[in-house]
Amino acid sequence: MEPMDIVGKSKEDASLPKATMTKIIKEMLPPDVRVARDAQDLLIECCVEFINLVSSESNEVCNREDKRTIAPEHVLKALQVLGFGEYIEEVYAAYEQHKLETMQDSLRGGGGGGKWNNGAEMTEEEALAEQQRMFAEARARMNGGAIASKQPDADQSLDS
Amino acid sequence: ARIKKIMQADEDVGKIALAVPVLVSKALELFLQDLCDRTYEITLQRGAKTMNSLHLNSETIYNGFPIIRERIKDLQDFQPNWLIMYRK
Repeated sequence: MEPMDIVGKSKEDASLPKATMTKIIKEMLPPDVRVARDAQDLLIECCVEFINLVSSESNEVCNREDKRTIAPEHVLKALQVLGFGEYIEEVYAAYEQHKLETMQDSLRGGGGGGKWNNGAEMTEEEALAEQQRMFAEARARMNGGAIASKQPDADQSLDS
Repeated sequence: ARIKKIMQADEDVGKIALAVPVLVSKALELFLQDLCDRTYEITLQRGAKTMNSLHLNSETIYNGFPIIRERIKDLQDFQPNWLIMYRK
């Protein structure tokens, strides 16, 4: 990888957002503590390096298992190998939470277009009314189709 | 998205599962908290009110995160003390 030009800015611009990171760092420390600019820069640099470290180790774990895609299990193993074993429990909990949220989103029809996403906010009565309306529409369409298909037969009988 | 971008900046890294950045993000949060706590302790020990790079460069941090020492890149303005120590 190419050397850094500015702190947290590589040639590929693969860096962490400085303002956001500064805000996070300040939230992690007591309010009376000031953080010097060089310390902030070094902390952000350490974070970027941590990501690089975890990703390269995860990639090695992934390769050892003859897999093509880095999976969550590979990251957990990488953390153990790198000596960050005490993080695993909380990281796994975050993963479980993410899985749960993803499942809930898919059950709600998340990402299936705005029209359907409001279903979760509907009351039972509204949902029932909506269902009845849709049934009525479908019935009307079917009846309309049936009439249209029967029409030519009627014409034929008249002709004969 | 930013974490995924950093991960994929490494040419060796191929495909990444959707949940992976979530895990890395949480691990990063814990790592940063750890780093901030250790550095803050040193700031207190030195009776300072401003946390600076010297506190972050101390041997306590160096010993706490030995794995990082060989990975930290040279910064434009200064080199961490523990990086220089490691190179010796």
